[in-house]
Amino acid sequence: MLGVVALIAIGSLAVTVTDVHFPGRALLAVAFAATVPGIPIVATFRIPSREVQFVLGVALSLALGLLTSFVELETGAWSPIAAQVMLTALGLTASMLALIGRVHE
Amino acid sequence: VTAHNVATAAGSWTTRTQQAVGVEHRTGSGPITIARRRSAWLVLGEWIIVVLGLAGGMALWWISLKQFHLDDSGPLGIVKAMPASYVGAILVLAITFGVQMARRRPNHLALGMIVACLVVVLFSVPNLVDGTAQMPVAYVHAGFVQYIGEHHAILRGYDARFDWPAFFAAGSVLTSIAGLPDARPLLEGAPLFFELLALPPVLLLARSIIGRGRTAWLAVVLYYSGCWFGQDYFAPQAMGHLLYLSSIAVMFWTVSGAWEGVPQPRPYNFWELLTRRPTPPPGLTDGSAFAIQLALTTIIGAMVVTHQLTPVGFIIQLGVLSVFGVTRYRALWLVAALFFLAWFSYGAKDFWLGHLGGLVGSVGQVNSSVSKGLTSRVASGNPTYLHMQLVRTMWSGMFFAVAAVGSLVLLRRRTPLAFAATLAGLSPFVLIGLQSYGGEIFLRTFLYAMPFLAILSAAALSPLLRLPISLRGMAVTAIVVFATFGLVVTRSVNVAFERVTADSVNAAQFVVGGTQSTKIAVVESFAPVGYAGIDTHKVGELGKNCEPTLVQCALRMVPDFIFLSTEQEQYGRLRMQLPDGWLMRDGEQQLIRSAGYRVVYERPHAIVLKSTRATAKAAAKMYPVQPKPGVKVWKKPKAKVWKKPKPKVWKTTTHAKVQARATAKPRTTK
Repeated sequence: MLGVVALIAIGSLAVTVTDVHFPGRALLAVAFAATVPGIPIVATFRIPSREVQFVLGVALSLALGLLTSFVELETGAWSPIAAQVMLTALGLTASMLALIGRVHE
Repeated sequence: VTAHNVATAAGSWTTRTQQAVGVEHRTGSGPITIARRRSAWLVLGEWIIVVLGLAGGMALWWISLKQFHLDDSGPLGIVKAMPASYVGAILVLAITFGVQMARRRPNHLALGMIVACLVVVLFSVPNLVDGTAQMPVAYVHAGFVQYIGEHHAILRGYDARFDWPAFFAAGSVLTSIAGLPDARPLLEGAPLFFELLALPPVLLLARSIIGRGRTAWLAVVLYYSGCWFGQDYFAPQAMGHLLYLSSIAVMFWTVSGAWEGVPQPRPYNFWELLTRRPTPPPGLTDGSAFAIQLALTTIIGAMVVTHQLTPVGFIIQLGVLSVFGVTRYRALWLVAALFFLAWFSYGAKDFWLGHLGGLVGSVGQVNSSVSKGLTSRVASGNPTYLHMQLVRTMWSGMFFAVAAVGSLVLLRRRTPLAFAATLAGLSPFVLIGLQSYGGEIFLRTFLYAMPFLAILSAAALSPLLRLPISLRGMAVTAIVVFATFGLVVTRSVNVAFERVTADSVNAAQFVVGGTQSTKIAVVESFAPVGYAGIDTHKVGELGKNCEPTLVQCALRMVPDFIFLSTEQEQYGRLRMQLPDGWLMRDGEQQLIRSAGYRVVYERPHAIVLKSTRATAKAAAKMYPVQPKPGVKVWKKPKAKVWKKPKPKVWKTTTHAKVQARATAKPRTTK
């Protein structure tokens, strides 16, 4: 799951930076909004239920996306790409931490 | 780690399979091998049934999308517009679900796939049929998103919804990431996105309350069947509701440890309720519980800046759960309340300064909420349509009644979280005493209560799941068929005017596509104008109760464009019993003949009229400028007309007058 989310994060950022248009781009963006960075972050919590990890991860992804956009809007620092870079960095860092935690287990 | 996981998974799969077919372990390798082969074939056969059911159901649904005649929808919703293939799709999926539920041990993956397909079938109409998005207000939200994308700020004083801007800002970021010119493509898939993402939290909540058996799956189906409210379009409340569902599901999971056999305090001992600390589920450490609390706090923060009402409902639920000791996070309601008050007093200042009287004045006005939310909705209109509104109300009432039975069943069984679920289901109804919310408070209250009403209803029906296998499958299929068709009927009552046709979208694009500032009028507020240029174009209704006097209203307002559509005509027919063609035929002709408008765009479902010089003349004639009382109006002075002076006539002075002048006293000055 973490690998898939990492792929979505990197893929979506790459598509935004290169501005490549293809039919599934909107779906990729929606997948990014629903999974990054919440699912990797929640993976570091060591919750003993995958269901809960998924539910909390999706909600946290959406919440962080909302809050990032909101802060950019309120502070006048509007930049969609900066928001995406920030969320991707957060997601990839959390993925690394979660993987390190699993290896240590 | 991977090898261990694979081995564990394989072991558990074998165990599950054997348990499913009732295989007993025997000594010796021969019988076990045969039993394994048999069980493997059985599992394969069951999966073939699932795949065939899903493929058949989805194929019928795909065919039905081409066969829908949504123009035939009316007071009965889409009942007359629905093709047989759509009915067939639902039946096939319901039977497949019933077959799976009849198994000794439910196949959760298969059930999840069936329910997901059922959600796609139920919530894809009318969006995928029309190729647009239901609910014209969603297009207004797309307009907000576009404004933020263009100006990187909100439009102050334009609309109260801008005071909770997180959803629109996130929509703008998403539009940019997706490389879309505007947010309209996101609107079409929004109901499926929100409804599919609601599946895991509702299932988690059900499993936390009534266990991991098949009753939880029945609860999920009942949840969707009760959601006729249409609150899943591209809107802040849909996002707020998803965050609410996820948060409440995780919170209930954190106290679901009672399922492991740990004794719980008695629910009727108030002191125990106040002082108890719920048992966490096995394996949840204090560190993990604290991390979950941080995540929930973040989610609540996002909820507070996204939607105005969802946090209020959630705070009430959190407060009630805290008081009765059925949450690990007893201070969370306080944190949520502080977040809410902070944003409401700072960020939403424009809103509450303008509506303080209405906000405070409606507290405790239950009668007003009932009147606006229920009575006024069935006061006038097409008789069949009014009956359907009653059916909707009764549908929700039925869930409430069955849930009450379910609550009693669970409390009698001493199910640990039965009391908490009942409280959580009842607490949103407090909102009715606080606000009428523009007549929508009943919808929102049932929306927040629905997960619990569905779970408790499933508990009430759970004795049916203990019937013999063949009867159980039939009983479940019958329940699912009844529930899903109930949803189709109740959800689609307003579809005739809440749908948005492709013609309307194209007409809206024609009107608001230009950069020049224009004044656009609609007769009813069911048109997708407003998706762009909200600061450039002024969009509004012709006026209140203008249906019988379109020409007078048009000449009073004199808009540049008048937007007519079949959706608006259907609204008049269903809500005001106006005759067929009152707008698209008679209204158009009146506006052309008597108000001087001309047709600039015409399709079967949408007409755009543009004002001409004749419109201005007719308006000036009908409504000459009248001075307002107390205002001095400058008037053009009258031109002086030269008049021929009268010839002086010499008058003779009499001798007596000459004598009188001579004897008069001389004038003195002071």
